[in-house]
This record gives sequence, C-alpha cells and structure tokens, in this order.
Amino acid sequence: MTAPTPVRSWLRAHRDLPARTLSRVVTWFIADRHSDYGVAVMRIATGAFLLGWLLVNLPVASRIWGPGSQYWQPYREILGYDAPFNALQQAGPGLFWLWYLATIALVTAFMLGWRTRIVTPLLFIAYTTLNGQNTPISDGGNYFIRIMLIYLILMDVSRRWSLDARRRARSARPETQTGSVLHNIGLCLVIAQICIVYLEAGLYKVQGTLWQDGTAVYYPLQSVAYGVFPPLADLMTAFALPVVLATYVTVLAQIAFPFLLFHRVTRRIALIVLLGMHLSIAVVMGLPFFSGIMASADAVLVSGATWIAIVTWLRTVVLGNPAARWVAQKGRRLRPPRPSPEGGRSSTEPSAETAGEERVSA
Amino acid sequence: MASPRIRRLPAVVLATVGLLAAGHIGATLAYTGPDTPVRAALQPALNRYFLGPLDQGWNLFAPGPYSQDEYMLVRACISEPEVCAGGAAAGAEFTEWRNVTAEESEAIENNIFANRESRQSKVVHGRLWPAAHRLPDDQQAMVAANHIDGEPVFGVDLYSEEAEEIFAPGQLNDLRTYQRLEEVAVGIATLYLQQEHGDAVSLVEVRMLREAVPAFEQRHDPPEEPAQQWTEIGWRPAAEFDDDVKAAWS
Repeated sequence: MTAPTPVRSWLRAHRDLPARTLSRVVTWFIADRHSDYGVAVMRIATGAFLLGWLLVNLPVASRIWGPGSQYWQPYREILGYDAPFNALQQAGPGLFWLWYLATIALVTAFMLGWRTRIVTPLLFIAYTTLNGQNTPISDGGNYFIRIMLIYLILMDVSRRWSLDARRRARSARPETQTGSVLHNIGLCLVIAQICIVYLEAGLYKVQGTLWQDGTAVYYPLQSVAYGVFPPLADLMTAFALPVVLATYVTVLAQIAFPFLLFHRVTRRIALIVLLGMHLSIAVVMGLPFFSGIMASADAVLVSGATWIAIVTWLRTVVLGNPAARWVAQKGRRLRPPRPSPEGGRSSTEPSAETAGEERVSA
Repeated sequence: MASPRIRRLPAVVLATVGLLAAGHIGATLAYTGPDTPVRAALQPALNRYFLGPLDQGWNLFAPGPYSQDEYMLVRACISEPEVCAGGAAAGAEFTEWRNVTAEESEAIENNIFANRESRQSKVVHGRLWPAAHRLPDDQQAMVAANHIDGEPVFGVDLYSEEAEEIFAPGQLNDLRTYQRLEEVAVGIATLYLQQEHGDAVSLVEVRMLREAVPAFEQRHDPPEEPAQQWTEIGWRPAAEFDDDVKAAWS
C-alpha cells in the first residue's frame, strides 16, 4: 500500500470545506443586517444632497424638467422611459409642480428615515421620472443615485438613526431572515456598484493620452464650464508637479479602489483619498451635488464603530459649545425626562462596543 | 456558537435574488466597461436591458478630459416667413447672434451652487456635436443649408420606406439620431429667441462653436485666438410650442 500524497491528505482533511464555506456565506446573509450605520449615513447624506439639488433648481424646475423641457421630446421619447417614468412628458404645470413637491416630500421622508419600505420605491419612481424629463442636464451623481435607489429598495435603510428605528424600538418586533437576506444582497449590490464606478472610471482614464502624460486635470479646470474659480484654477495649474500628482493619484486611486477594500488599513487610505478627491471636485470644479452623492455612498464602507465614534465626537464638539449647551439645557427644562428601558441609553443607539454585535434574526 | 438555520423562504430568496443580483452586476460590468469582444457580442441584449432607468456610463472625464469650451449661438428672422425667404434684400429683419451658452455660464463663475439652467445649451451642444460629426461631408453640407419650407433636411422622410431603401441601417440610424437632436437644438433656440422677440420669431439659425483650452505647455503664454471649430445648422422654421411651454420660458 502506498502512502497518501500531501494533496490527498489535505483534501481528506478538508472534505467539509465547501459545506462550511456555504454555511458561513448563508450565516453572513441571515445573521445580521450589515453596515446598518453606514447605510444610515448614506441615507441621510444622500437625502440631504438630493434635497439641496431639488431646492437649488426649484426656481428653474419648470424650464429644465417641467413643461418648458418640451423641446427635448424628440430625444427623450426614444430613451426607454416607459410608464410610469413618462408620466410628466406631456404634463401641464399643475401635475408637474404637484410631482415636484411630492418628490421633495419623499426625499425629506427618506432622509429622516420615515416609512422607508414604502418611501424608497416611491422616491425612485418620482425621482427617475423627473430625471427622465431631461437626462442630459443630469450629472454623474444623478445617474449614480438613480441606480442606488433601486438597490436601496431591497435594504433596511432606516435601521439606525431614523424615525422608523424609534418606532421599531417601541414595538420591539423581531427582524425576519428574509428581510436580512434582502438587505445584505442590496448592500452587496451597492458595494459592487461603487467598485464598478471607480474601477471603470479609472480604466477609461488610463486609455487617454492626457491622463497618461499627467496633464488631464489641467484641462477641465481651465474651461468655462468647470473652472468655477478661474484665479484658483490658474494657481493650481501654474506648476507642473501638482497637476501631474493630482492626475496620477486620481487614476491610481480609482483603479486600485476595489482591491484596497480587502484590508482595513488600505480601505481607510482609499476612502480618505477619494473623499479628498470628491471635496476637490465639489469646490474647484463646482460640482457639489455630484461629489456629495458619490461620496455619500462610500459611507457604507466605514464600520459602525467608526460612525458611532464620529457621531460621539461631533456631539461632544456641538454640546461643548456654550450656545448649544444653553439650548440643550433649555430644552431639557421644558421637556419632562423620559426614562429609557435600558437605564439611560437609547435602545436604538448602542455604544461603540455593541455596534459590531451580531443580532440573530428570527 | 452554532450557526442559525436558514428557513425555506429566506433560502429561496437568497438563491433567486442573489443570482439575479450577480447577473445584473455582470451585465453592468459588460455594459459600462471599455470596449471588449465580450461587450461587442452582448451589445444588442445589453442595450435593451439598460435602456431607460437602468442606463448608466462611468467614463467620467475619460478617456479624454473635458478640454474645450462649448457654445451655442442663435439668431432669428423676425419678419414674415415669406419675407425672410427673400433675405435682407426683401426687407427681412434679422436679430444679432446671441451666445446663449456664454449667457448661461455667467451664473457658474465663482458659484458652486449654480442651478442647472446654467448648462442647458451646453448639454444640447454636447449631444448634437458628435451626432453631426458622425455624418459624412455631403450630409453635413445638407445640415448647414437652409430648409425653411419644412422640407426634409436629407431630402427624404427618414421614417419612410424610401429612406430604408436609400440608406444602410447604420447610416439611417445616425441620420435619425441627428434629426432628433437638430429638432432639440432648434427647439431651445426658438424658446430663447421668443423670450426676447415673442411670436415674431419665424425662422431660427443655430451655430455650435468649440474653442480649445490652450495646451498645457502653452498655459503661461496662450495663443491670442483659441483654436475654433464650428458646426452650423442653416435656417429652419421656428419650432411650435403650446402655451404651457411658452409660459415656462416667459
């Protein structure tokens, strides 16, 4: 009888590996609703930017999306926005303004996390219909959030820091496995979409000669459309080194992004670099809503413990302010104290130590 | 700790929705990624799937960054159409050229929160320019010519059987795309000019101008006159809109 080979021994020892892997994957999908704090930050930040977008464009909405956008009809009628997304194409001012105000109300409800199981799909329909009126006027952020809203429909976006979370804490209804599965699939889609956006934006860039020679960043900054502050653009592009560095860091960070997510340290570096890139685009190129919406989605990649630490720090800073402390004390004096069932800490906002704790669903 | 057991419904949901999600992400990668043989093979199916609300593209400022200033210039004839047809010699009155993109862009300078009205004509330019430049020279000449009686720009109704006989499918598709975008350009030109001259606008003419940003090497000593490229749409009848549209632009 011959001695078993190392490969055969390894295979025999790990006979149950596929079953164990499958079990781990299934457990990941049913045991918890992952990244719930990050999703809450994404919901609040995205909602705030969408609300800002709708309010900034309110004075001109009738021309760019309403009856005044009728000149786009020969083009938009072939874009595939079928019912219900074509509801505004022949609408008069009455229906248009009703729709616009309803969209603002839905965005506000979404941001506050109110009835998001109903509000999120309605917001997707309302926003996509509005967007479909004049797709060329949209920027990348509008495209991005339209796709993200589809994924967010699957997710429990109001598990933390929301009005829904307060209501749920009172009713104490258990979470279902099906809900957790859908939430986690939605989360995978969100993360995959973020990776696709950055990776492909980087892959397209490396094909361009101006990105290869390190001067690409100079050109939009010197254009009328994206050089919002001409003296600042002149200053930033006066020397070659910052231009080349900004160009190469942009390309490298975008292509490397999906691979940097695998380790905690590299993930943090990637997120900080991309946040810096988004801030620069927002201020220097005058695209705050595009950058804000894109950066908001990155929030799901930050751990719950980190978000709680950030919020705790912000509270300390805000409440450390004498004016804010005076307002808080005034508010406490006016409102009778409501005892928390856990003796002081809200049941919906656990501490950093419990943020990573698994909640086994029913 | 023992792993929680998955129930039947969540297991079915995980298998089906998980597979659909994986398929969707694979299709997104193929549809939005750079040109590859796989993408080319799947293109017709991908185009159908991503038409409408799922449409997306992530070649942001790539492969070439935005490196020119894009302008749309418009003017009108504000006499009766038959007088306009005779030109200035017949007493037709023409307005000055109006650079509507430059007017819109004033809102952008030093203001990161400018509303999107500041980019209306720029995005029309951005769509029309490549569609016009896909056409061969003789068809670009037809575009630049005047068509004031409502006769087809390319000599034939592009949705007729005759057009299908004359043009190859790809060429006909390019012509139809251009035609739609020309209608958009004439439409916004009409609305801008009617803001100023009301219903007196009978014909409109549109020009698209591109001025190159000075090359990086020339940034400290840019040329006095930037390199210019033009696309011209000859005189066309003003587009007709109902009162709701005019009210939005009044």
